[in-house]
Amino acid sequence: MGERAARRHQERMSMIGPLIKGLALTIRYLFAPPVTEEYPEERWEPFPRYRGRHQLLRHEDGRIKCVACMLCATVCPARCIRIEGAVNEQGEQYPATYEIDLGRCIFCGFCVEACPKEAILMTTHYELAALDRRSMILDKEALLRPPAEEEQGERTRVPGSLVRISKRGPRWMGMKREKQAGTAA
Amino acid sequence: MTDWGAVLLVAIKGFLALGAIMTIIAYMTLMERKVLAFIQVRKGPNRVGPWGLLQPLADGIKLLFKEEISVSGADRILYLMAPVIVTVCALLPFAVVPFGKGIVGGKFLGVPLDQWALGQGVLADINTGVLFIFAISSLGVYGVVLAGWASNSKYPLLGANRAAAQMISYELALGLSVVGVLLLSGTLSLVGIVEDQDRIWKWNCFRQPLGFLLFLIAGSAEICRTPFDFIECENELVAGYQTEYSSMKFGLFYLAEYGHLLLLSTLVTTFFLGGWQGPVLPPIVWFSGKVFAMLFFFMWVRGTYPRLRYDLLMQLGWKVILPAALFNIMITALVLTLIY
Repeated sequence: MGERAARRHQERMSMIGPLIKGLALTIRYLFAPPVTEEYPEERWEPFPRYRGRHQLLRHEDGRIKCVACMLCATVCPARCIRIEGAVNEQGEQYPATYEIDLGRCIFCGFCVEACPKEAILMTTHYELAALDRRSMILDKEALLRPPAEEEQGERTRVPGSLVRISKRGPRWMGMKREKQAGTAA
Repeated sequence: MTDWGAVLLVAIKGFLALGAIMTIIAYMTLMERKVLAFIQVRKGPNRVGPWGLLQPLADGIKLLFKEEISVSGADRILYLMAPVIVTVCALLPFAVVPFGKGIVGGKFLGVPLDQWALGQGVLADINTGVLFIFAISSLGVYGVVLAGWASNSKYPLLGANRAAAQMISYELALGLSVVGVLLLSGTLSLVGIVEDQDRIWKWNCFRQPLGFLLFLIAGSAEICRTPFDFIECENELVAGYQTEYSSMKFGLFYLAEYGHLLLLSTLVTTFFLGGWQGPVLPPIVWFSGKVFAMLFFFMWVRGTYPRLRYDLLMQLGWKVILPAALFNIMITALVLTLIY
């Protein structure tokens, strides 16, 4: 046997160990619990800083915090925010219309960062599918409404099925999930 | 004079066996999907019926109601014949595989059971059973080649070309790897081979370890399963020779594919794992348990290894498996001559 042939032979023989190792690995995974989340029945609860659908905030007396300064609309890289400002009886500026086109929004969160009044934030609501583009444009009323628990997945829910909100969080992230209350405080 | 009662009994036995085989094949698809899913840390089908148990039924209905599409330039007769040939060749060899011990002799409904293997756990006890199996499974290649040729389309032709080359190459190695078993048991009858392995230490996987290994490798190459599934190497050949088939014609190929897998598992069981032989439990339980274990093994292998390269496949067949099988025959013959 020549030197090259001998080396090739040795290389081939050295493959047998890894082949068995591979089988051992797959049999180990066979008994591992599946990572599947059966979506409409099981839901993933996002991390607290997840950037989902926006929400406009009000002052405690009910006035909208937004002063229609247009900073968010200006900074928005997707140009998805449309604001028409107006002045009320007290001489304060407020948004007469405030629309976000979620079909265009890239969920970068720049609007939240730009806002000098902390009037807009991003909730963790992520079930934003719609049947047409028109209904993806959220108006001021929709944006002012906080996403309620039952609103999650109202379009996708199987009638009569039990909704279990999964508390695990995505396992693929390999992170320990923080307590939502702990970070909010 | 023909004994019509016996004919009827044989027909009933055949139909029962065929029904059982078809049901098992249908549920093998579910088992494969489940095993692969678990290996990939998924859950697998679980929407149709509890634990997805009605999935094969749903798949069957779906296949039946799919639209029939065929290529305009196809050779109509050969095109329709090909799936039939493949399926028949996949199912026919089950006739000689012994699945249980059975009662020899006696009478049932006035028909003596000592004729036509009626009292035995096999459909036909042919004294050249091994030869029969290899002959029939070789004919299956015709179905593949005809499917590729008659489709009048390039991917099926390339796929059939490859499939034929692969099946013919590995047929040789497959046949040779069983010769050691035949030398040991001194018979070509599958019933005889099983009866020869009547103690656990006489199971041929212990007496013929090399032959066992070679049979596993050559067998999974012969039926074109991963890591040797070149005939439908989807990233190169779309779906190989089945590309232009739809609806139940595709279903037949699919059935034949799983039929081959089941056949290979029963053959491994028969040749190397002692068939229905085993202590305490009834023979049919031993047989189905072993077949089930082999099926799981092949699915496990599918979930583990990537596909080989084509030239390496040919190299493996001709330069490794074949010489090793010949070596195995020589050693076996030598030992047998020296001892007996």
